[in-house]
Amino acid sequence: MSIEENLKLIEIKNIHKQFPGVYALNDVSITAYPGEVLGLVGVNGAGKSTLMNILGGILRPDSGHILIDGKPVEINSPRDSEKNSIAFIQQEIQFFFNMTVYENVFLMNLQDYRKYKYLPLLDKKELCKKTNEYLNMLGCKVDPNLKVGALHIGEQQMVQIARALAQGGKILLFDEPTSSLSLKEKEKLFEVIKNLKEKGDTIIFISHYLDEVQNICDRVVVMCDGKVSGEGLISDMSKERITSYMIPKEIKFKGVKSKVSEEVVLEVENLSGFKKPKNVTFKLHKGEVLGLWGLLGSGRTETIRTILGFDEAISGKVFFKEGNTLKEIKRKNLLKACGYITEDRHFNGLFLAMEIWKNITSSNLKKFASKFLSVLNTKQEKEEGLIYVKRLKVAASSQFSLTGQLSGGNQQKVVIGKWLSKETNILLLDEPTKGVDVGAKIEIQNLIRKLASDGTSCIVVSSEVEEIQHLCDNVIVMNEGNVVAYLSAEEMTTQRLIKECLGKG
Amino acid sequence: MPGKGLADMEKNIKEISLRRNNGLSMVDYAIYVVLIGLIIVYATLSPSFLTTRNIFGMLLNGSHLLILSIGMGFVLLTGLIDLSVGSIAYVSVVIAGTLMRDHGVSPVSGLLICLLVGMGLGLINGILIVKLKLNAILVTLAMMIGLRGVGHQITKSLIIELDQSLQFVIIHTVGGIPIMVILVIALIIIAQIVLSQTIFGKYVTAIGCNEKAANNLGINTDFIKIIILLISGILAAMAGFYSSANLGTCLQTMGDGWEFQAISIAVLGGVSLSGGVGKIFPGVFIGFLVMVIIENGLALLGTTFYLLPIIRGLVIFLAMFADSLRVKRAQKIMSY
Repeated sequence: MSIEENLKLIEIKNIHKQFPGVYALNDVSITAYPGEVLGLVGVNGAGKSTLMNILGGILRPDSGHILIDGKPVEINSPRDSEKNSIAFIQQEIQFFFNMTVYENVFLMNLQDYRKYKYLPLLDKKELCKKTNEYLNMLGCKVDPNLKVGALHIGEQQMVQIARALAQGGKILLFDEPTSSLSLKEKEKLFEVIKNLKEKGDTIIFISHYLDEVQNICDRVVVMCDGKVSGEGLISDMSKERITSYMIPKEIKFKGVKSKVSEEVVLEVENLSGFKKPKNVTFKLHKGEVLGLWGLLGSGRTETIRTILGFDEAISGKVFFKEGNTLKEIKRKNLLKACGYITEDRHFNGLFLAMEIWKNITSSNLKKFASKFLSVLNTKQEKEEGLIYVKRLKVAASSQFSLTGQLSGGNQQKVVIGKWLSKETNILLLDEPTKGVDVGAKIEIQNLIRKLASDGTSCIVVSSEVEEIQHLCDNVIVMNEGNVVAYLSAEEMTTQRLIKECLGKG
Repeated sequence: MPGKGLADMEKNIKEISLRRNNGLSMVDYAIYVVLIGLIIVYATLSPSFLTTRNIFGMLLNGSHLLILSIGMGFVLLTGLIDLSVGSIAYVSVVIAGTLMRDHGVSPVSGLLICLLVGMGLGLINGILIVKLKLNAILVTLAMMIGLRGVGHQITKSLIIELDQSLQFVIIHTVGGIPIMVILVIALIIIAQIVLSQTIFGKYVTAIGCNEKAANNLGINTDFIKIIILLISGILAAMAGFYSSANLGTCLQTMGDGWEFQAISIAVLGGVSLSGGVGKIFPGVFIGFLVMVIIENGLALLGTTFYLLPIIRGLVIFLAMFADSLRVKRAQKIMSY
């Protein structure tokens, strides 16, 4: 076989794929050449993994073609993918932990290793020998008779690559291979990838760590919202440029003009807890977004929890506006009048197997219940829920999609909607954009701004300077439970924020 | 950081020791200790325990359990469970027995019919579980209850007398060893070779280890699971046929509780309930020996009849406990 024949060029042409609720791939075309590492980057949900699953034969595209060396191929199953020398090294390590290394490497090629011609018995010696050959090629010394469960994660990754090579893979797809590796193992993996590249294999490397992509890739394709949003040689693509392609164009932070009124809706006076907070005093105005900023452990979350009565307070008073007057309120009663979105809302804030509108109304079911026996008026509940789905612009395939089908960012919107349906005037949000991708983050920030301009007052805890600067009208800087500064929007420069929080330490 | 270095070292030492014995631990050896202990205790308490007559008698009377446990071993290795084996055995023998008694079908055709019925019922299990994606426990539980009713309907809850010529395999010996014992031991060794040396066996283990990964690699997991349940059906029918031939009649209660005995033998022998771990030989075979020796010894010592179910319950409990210890350890290894 000449070298030429060994090289595989893969072209993906106009692939479309729809899931219930999401247009995962919209007219995607990508070409990868032999002897190069093609980086595929994008935020979560951009469609990278869907595309790889299609090449790996795990999913089928709705339409489009895949060409290898110019010839169209049909990939309907993992077997087809293997026949076309595509090997998929998946994100979650796909292993049989109770089986040995050689079994894991050759599981799909056992038919070539018979001991006798007419008896279906396997030749273990030959299998071990071959396994060693592949592992040596990858610079990995592991006894093929060990169980895979007893290996390091880095070694397991090598076993997985060995399997890809043993299956005759010439087009290697790495889906976030470094996510669970140590630094040393990472370097090793990059070395292996470079060697494979020099051998002439076609490599597609998926990652959302841009440093890695710049380190290892020759060319990069950026995906966003199921489309290819940019591509180019790595030398032409700076990190900033890649990032700009990763963010959906239509979503930009709007920065609605603030409408802070003079009216005070919540006043906290000399509030102290056991350790934190210490003597916290501030006023929240109608339509204001008040930031709570500080380094980790500065007492931001504790302050909110103390205000709401989750943590005990030693001294201090909280005043809340009811009707037209500002009255002192028992802190435990405050929660009934406020919306509180915790940091870990994904775990305890949603019923994933329920419709979106049911989630939204779930915090306020009393409103829809009859006086006698509390029978729910489902029709009214649904109407109300759907209003919020629209208002919050939750992106779902239909109004009746289940919450579990939504992306993280949209789930966060549902959590916010849940508290809004309580018709609260005050929202307390603890790290509202933590763990959601760039696009959803901006949408949530827009949403908070819009709520404020509609007259809801918000207190936002955030660790990100940028987010505080975008969102807040005023910010309280905290350090070790103390309020060290109260800054207005004009004063909120990055330097000033950092200076204030470190200044008195 | 010095603390971290120390923790790393500790981890390394643990890991090296885990690697050296390739995941084997005390739990895996415990069964051998139990087996030898039992033999010593019974041999000292009862002089007739270690006689060839008793040993062959024990093996002959328990062989149906061994046959069942081979099938159950494969089923558990795939990560499935089959509670219907006892009832499959009953119905298969009832159909074959009725045909032999009333319609003059020869014993050889009778055996074939019996195995075919078992295969068909296993296939139905397989289709319901794999194609309709129903829960294996519920499907086979329904089959266990339903098929028992079918059997009683056919026999009107009476026993079926079988042809005496069927006792041939039990009476005849080769070199002093009963033919049936030789056949069963051959069966168990073939089963182990299939499991450890063939592609089919590797796929079975792979499915039990990680079904999703097996599917993603392109193994036809549905097909293999159906085949496994089908084999389980055939072996159940075989066990039923043997058990009835041994007695000369097919009792109404034949096959009652077999499923749990087979499961406990397999789990005692080191087959994991969560699939992917275990051996037929020596694993299941040793489990079988422990089970029959316990019961045989109790009978020899003349203990009360009611002790037997209590002991069986305890054995099942211990087997499950050992399995849970094994699973815990496996998770520990994986967390490195």
